Amino acid sequence: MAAEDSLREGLRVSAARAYGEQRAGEMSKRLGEIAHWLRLVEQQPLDLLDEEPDNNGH
Amino acid sequence: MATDELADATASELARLVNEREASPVEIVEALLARIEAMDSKVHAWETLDREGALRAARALEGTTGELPLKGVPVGIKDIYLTGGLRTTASFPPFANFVPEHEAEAVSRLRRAGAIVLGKTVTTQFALADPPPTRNPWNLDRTPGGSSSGSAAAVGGRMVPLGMGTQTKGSVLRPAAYCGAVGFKPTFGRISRRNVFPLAWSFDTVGFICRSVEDVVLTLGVLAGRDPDDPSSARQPVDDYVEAYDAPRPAAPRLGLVLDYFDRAHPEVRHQVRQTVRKLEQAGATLVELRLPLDFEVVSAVHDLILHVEAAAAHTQLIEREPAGYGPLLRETIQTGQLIPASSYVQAQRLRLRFRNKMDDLLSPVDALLTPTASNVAPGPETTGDASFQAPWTQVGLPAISLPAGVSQDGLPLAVQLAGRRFEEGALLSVARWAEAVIGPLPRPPAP
Repeated sequence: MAAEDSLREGLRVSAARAYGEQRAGEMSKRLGEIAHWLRLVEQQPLDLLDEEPDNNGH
Repeated sequence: MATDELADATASELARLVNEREASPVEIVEALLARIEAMDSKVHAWETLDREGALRAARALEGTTGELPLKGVPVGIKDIYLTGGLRTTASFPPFANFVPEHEAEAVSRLRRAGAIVLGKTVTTQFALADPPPTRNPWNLDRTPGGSSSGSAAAVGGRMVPLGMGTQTKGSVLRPAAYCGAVGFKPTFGRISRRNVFPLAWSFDTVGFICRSVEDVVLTLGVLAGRDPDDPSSARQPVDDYVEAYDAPRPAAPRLGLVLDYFDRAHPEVRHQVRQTVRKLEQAGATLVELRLPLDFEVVSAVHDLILHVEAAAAHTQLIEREPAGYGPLLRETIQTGQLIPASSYVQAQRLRLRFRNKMDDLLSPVDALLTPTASNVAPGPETTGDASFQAPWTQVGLPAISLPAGVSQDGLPLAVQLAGRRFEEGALLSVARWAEAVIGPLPRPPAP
């Protein structure tokens, strides 16, 4: 699992490539939040065979 | 009847007056237009007022004799619902002059039930969180919340008894709570969302804001039910909510207090809601203390990741065509959402399903879950407030209702929310009816 810093840096590089360095800088706070969310989701145990029943809630 | 009496009346009271010919639809529309005229230069709840259309519809109703569930009840429609022949902007400048030919199914059902569309209420841009011009009728220095900002402010400010909203995170329940109104979000799929602009398909739910549980019952009875042209519309049978409401008063319920919320609430909110809980206990409610089956922070992370990706997908073509029209928060959400890896989106969806199934288990021993609706009272207008307390129900599609529950030391409304089992709105509203009677009414907001 990637560390939060490395997730943030990966997002920053992608943002700079897509929108330019200046825009990536403007979005740095949100990119940091997203890195944190990605880290939290990555940390949850989801086994290869885990599949939750789903009928689209209906 | 006097203008103020008509403006103070709930949707159910107005429908009763019209059906019994004790008030005329024209008189009601004129009274509310006068109220809007007096208030809205300060509150800014309305994006477009349809004076002529509303009066025309009112006059047409006066010529009819049959009873209708919402006959003569004025309604404000959040400006992300398409309204045939009436401007629909989504607070997006390129849509400033967009007049749709088609209409949201929910709006058509309201019209068929006798409701009168008074106009379109202010939304945050495409129902995200760029702050709107709307102010809270209880204190003009505070936000009404969002994204259903105008509907909440108009209902709370007594400009209309019923306002349509949508909830993707907390956009019905929170503004209702901030503005001292009742907010209701049904089970995902219960009400058609056809011809309502999407923000995040996994969560977007049509809901509404009004001033009593009886109004929720009446309105849900009109709106609930399968729409074959909406792929998210559920096939589940619809209860007779009015019959259930009119049934003998239910026994005191068993309520699950979700402690994670009390831990996170502002101290004054926690204290006040604890007092409300004590009142409910003294009236006979059985209280069970519970914890969310997934860490609160993880639930929020799952929600925000899915919302970012789906908002990015929904807007990816429009932002290419009209980049200058976007507000800063929505633009940033779309642009950052485009960077989230697909595998992370899928993992978030897997966790959402797990959370939903565990929430079904959590609800099984109680009639409803009870928490503060919002972490704090309405903040300043630079934000629409914290949606984290309403998001869990939206994430897993549970029906939920927010009820006013007192006033803070600063004179701002406080509220509690009740969440029930999926597709069991009737049972939830029965608990809400009981709780509303125990908690008692909120005073009127001060004149702005």
